[in-house]
Amino acid sequence: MSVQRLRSAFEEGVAGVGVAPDALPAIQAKVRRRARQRQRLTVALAGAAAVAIGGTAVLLVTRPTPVPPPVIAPPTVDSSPSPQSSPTATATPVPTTARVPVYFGGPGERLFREYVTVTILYGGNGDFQALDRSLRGDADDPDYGTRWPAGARVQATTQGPDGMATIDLTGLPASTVPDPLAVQQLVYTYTAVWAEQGIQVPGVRITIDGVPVPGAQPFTRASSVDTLAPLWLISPQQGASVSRTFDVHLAGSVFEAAARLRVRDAGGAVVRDDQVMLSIGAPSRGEAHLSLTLPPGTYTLEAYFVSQADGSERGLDDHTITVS
Amino acid sequence: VWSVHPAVPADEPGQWTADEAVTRLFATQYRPLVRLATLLLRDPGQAEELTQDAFVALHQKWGRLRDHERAVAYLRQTVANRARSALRHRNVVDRFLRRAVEPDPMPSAEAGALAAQGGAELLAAVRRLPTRQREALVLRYYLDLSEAQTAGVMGVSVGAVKSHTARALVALRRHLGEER
Repeated sequence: MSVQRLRSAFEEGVAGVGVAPDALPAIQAKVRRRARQRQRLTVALAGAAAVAIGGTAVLLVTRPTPVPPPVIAPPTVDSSPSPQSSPTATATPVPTTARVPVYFGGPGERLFREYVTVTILYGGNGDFQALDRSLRGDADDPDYGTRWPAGARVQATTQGPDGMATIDLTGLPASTVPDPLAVQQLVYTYTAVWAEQGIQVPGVRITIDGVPVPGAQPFTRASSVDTLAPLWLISPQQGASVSRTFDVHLAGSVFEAAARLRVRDAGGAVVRDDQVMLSIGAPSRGEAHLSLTLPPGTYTLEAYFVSQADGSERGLDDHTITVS
Repeated sequence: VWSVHPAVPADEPGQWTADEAVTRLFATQYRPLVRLATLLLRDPGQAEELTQDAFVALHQKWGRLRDHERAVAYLRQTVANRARSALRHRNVVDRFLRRAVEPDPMPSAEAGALAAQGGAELLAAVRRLPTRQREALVLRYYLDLSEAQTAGVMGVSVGAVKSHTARALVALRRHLGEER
């Protein structure tokens, strides 16, 4: 094999590789976005320093863009000025909002998911805020909560060059041993937020004030069959207001894909009770969308399934909604 | 804020603003860099993303570079570093997810014409080389860089470039020999 043959192979191999017609505007937009993020990070760091009390700084670290971090380059052209070294930034943070998936503990020792809208002050994708909601058990559905003790807070989230994440918690005794479902509550939440952006986080370390919690670190998602509630009423969410005709979204892992949806009116009377076939049966997780039309009023939607073993109702997930 | 370009842009790179440097270098370097990244990474979409980020990084560094040759070297180096980093990240993810190796998304238009000459087969063999060996080959024989330039981009010694290149060629010849 000659070197010339290698050159031809390279040339012809990339001959069909085109470039995006809007590449230059895309770069220019990224430059502007980066400039804004650097300003916000400076403000965030300044703010964190300002609230440092008793040596404990509240430091919010998020990865601003889903780009693999560069390997250190030779000194001739590397090392940018650190954001801390530009003390002139006076920008006020511009809050943005994001809709993020958050997992909560719930009935039957399983996890449930809600999409919540969070406010992001200093850039990032909302992973910090999603974890905060999860830790506090701040769900719309009163049946959902947290598996973590009261007072637990997120201190920082970081990702290493290998993509491995670390969630540092505080407000807990150092001796805290989280139960496996509590760990999964955070692992599912964090990985879901990143997965929405197409980033697969390979593993998550959980620390309390920098000290790893006991367990098989880094943690990964445990099997959904053992972790997630068998049936979720995804939408409408608890407390939602919907129009007369609305979409109901169910997901779950149930035998023969057979779920049921019951609707009760404000007085508790059953308005209807239908079988809903999910897209696939257990052990896979299937989904179903159906359209319901109801007269205005307050209703409770109850998703459940019937046990093959004894005919009892299982896996109830109910949401009260308003139809107007 | 993106500055408004002067009506007659300065032709001396030392005079360019960071915005001008990005625009000027984009015109000549963007496509070759995307192709370089594609050869290193196998994924044209990710290659383009990564090349755009290299230009964003250049914008930040322009104040220190202020030189056409150094800027081009910086872009190549950033693309090579980020491609290496992306491959490492991809490997970690693959290992954790125990995912089967994805089908190669490189455009396979060459499959027909080149297969006869073994071009596709040769490229496939290049893709199986260790990262550093592949980098050395692509920089030397796709970008036609000298050994010294290749060493600069890879951040290694000229001796290391020679040995990576030699080993890569031996591996390729062995691989092609075995298949015949």
